[in-house]
Amino acid sequence: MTDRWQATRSLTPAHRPWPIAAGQPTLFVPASLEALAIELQRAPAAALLPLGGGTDGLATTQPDALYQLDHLLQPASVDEASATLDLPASMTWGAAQAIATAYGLTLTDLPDAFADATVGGTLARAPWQPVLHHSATARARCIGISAMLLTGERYHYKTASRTASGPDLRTHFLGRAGATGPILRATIEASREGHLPHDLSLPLTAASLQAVIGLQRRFGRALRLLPTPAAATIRLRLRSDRPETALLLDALVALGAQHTTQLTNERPAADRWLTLPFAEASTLIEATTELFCLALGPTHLTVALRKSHPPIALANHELIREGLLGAGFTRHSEVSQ
Amino acid sequence: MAVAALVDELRASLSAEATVTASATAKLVYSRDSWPRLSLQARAGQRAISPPDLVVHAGTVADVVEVVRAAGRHSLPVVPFGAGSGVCGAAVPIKGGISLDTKRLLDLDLSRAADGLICVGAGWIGQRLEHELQRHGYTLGHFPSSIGCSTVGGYLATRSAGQYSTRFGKIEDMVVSLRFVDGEGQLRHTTEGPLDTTQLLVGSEGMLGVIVDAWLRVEPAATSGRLFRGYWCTSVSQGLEAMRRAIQAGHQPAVFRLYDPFDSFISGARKAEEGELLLPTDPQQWPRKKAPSWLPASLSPAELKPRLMTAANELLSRRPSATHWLNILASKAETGCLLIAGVEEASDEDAALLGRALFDDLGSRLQDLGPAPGEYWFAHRHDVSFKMAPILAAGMFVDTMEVSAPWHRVAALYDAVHAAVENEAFVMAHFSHAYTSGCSIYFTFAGFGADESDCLARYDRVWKAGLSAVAAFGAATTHHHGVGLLKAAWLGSDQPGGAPLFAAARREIDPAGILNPGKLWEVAP
Repeated sequence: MTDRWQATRSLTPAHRPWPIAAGQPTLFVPASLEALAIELQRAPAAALLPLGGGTDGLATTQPDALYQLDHLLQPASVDEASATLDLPASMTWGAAQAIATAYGLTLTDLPDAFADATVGGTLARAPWQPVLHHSATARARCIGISAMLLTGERYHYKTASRTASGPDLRTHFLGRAGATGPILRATIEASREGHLPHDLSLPLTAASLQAVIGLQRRFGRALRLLPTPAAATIRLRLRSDRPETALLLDALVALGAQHTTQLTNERPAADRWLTLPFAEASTLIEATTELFCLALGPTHLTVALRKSHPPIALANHELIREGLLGAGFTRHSEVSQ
Repeated sequence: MAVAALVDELRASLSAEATVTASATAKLVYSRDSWPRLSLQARAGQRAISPPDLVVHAGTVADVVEVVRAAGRHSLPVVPFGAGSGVCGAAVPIKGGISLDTKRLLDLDLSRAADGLICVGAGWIGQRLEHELQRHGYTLGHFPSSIGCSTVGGYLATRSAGQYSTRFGKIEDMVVSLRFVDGEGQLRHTTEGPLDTTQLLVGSEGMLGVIVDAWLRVEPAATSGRLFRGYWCTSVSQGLEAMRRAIQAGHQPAVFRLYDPFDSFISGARKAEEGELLLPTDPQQWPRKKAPSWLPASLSPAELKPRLMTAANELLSRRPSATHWLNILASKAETGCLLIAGVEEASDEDAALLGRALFDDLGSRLQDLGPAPGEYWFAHRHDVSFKMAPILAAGMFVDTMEVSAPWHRVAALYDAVHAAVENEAFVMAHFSHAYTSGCSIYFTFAGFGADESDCLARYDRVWKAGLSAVAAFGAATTHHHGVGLLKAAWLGSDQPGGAPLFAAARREIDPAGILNPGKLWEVAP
């Protein structure tokens, strides 16, 4: 049996940028998954959490200890024909993308901020999920997981694209911040390189949000809205693999859109996402100046509030959030697809 | 428990739109769904597994709340019932109790349809809902072959898929959130808590709540923007590779169906290859097959078919190896496979653009048969459900098995299942519901037995052999028919380790375990 305290060493902020200021959680390095299972059964709930990439600025739970899984998990594997990667939860998206690239695949158009985030940490992130690819979230791209319950039992969700095998029990782990047990592996659906949207972005003025929404309704599968630093500007990204893109380009030019070649992504990791049906979006956007990011899904407008954005004090942020909820926004655990 | 007293209690407390009955007829009707094994049992003269004690048609959401609370007070099971089109036995009240019919939950909120969202009651029949949506210029995009006899609540409870799933997704992709009544009679919304539990309720087959309504995504309806194309493939592998490449290249056809050689033969694809499909565009004007001269001319096709089936049954049931040899013969009947691809978009312009790109891609690899095979399929796309009854009436057994797998395993899985069941039944398959990382295989098998008992035994052996082969391959044992009683024993293969998680969810939502007990992980392996 592994002695938890003999295996523990200090976790310093310099070592891992864990956001909890008060106290220092210790790092537990189990000798095996079986040893981890024993510790999980001993520890009170949420006292022992898996160590991710330390990129989540929203963590609110302070565990007694974090446990490391890197050394216990099998390396990544690739199913080239099915365009899927079976990834250890401790792998960063940046490392995963490097593997995918070697096989002519790409996981996502991942925000830079997530290059250091781990696969398991992103899937366990509660309750918000980043948009990773054409309004598909990490969860939407995750077609299978292996996880461990707090009892030490294992759970595995098959990696077929779609099944009808009862309720999706991944709900027990996804978005639970590791409190219900660690995600050990995830199978992620990738895209084939060469068929992805190229980096063409078009800045638009948001004065006519309804026009943009109209575009989304017609061309939703060909474009996506990218986050921008101000609500006054909307940046559209076009999928070059969609035949209707040509029609969309004409429509955008008619709206005065200009081409740019530089694609930027300024969305911070600490964004909180809220969504609103299109019908109510326009008024709200005009009335709100504190919104940081925008994104469009097939049915909803999604806005993000940057919790740590300097001009917005936390209190103001909460007021805005409550105001949005009162105005009809609904909180989603992830962005609607 | 006095059923009569409960009937009186419910009649007094439910809305005027609700009905409560314990009649023998109602109990017989609600004792089963459309699981073919139950039809075989009925044909053999066996009684229903267990009828409900009473049947309630809820008229309102409040009725559902009241029925579940009453059931809790009387410790009676509640089994939600949509239209009874399920083919796995999920709605069979194996422990009696109340069969709760939700077909009268017909609220429909289209006020946000322009946003691509509707709120729809669980009782809407798919076909009626689609008609209503199209009348307002929208479509749900969910077209199962059972669309005329299945409900929204049933779709959600079983993770249903329609024939256009490659374009619109399965029902779990269409649902945004839903409301349900839990085992304690509380009306809940899946997004009311800090975590969205929608995907926990979807596929729960009535065990985690009675689904009463749902927010679903809709799109602008296609009026004429629908195009089809047929292609001829030299083999299953060639067809699968063409499908995979097209999907992974970013095409999103509404319809993508590859038939194996036997299914291609049955569907008349050989004629397409021979150019005989240079026919009028209207499939109704296509010539009918001429009957062989040795058949009595006095018999109509409707009379002839069951006689031939019965004769074949009697002949083949005396030769245990007959199905094996007939499968071999069937595999020689056709030398290639038919692939049908189709696009459906809201406008002709969009459909033409998408169709041209897709059809050029497929045409660069496969022999183009033109639009006729696809148009024929479209005209007959719901026929399959009506072909089973004559086969059952002729003394045979027949069923369908839909499984799914990653692309790299699909062809081998097809061979493995075929090999596993071919000694017991005729088997054919088509490949559809294609996704980036894999697709579904839809097997159809039919066979004979020396007598009714042997027929049931063979039927069970076919399923056991088929699903064992699927599980051994690491593929999913169900793609869109759900689990029910038929596939529950294989849940441990599809979601290993899921039993304690499901039990925990069950304790949270239905602590007394009154909602459709004895299904999913509660079935003994």
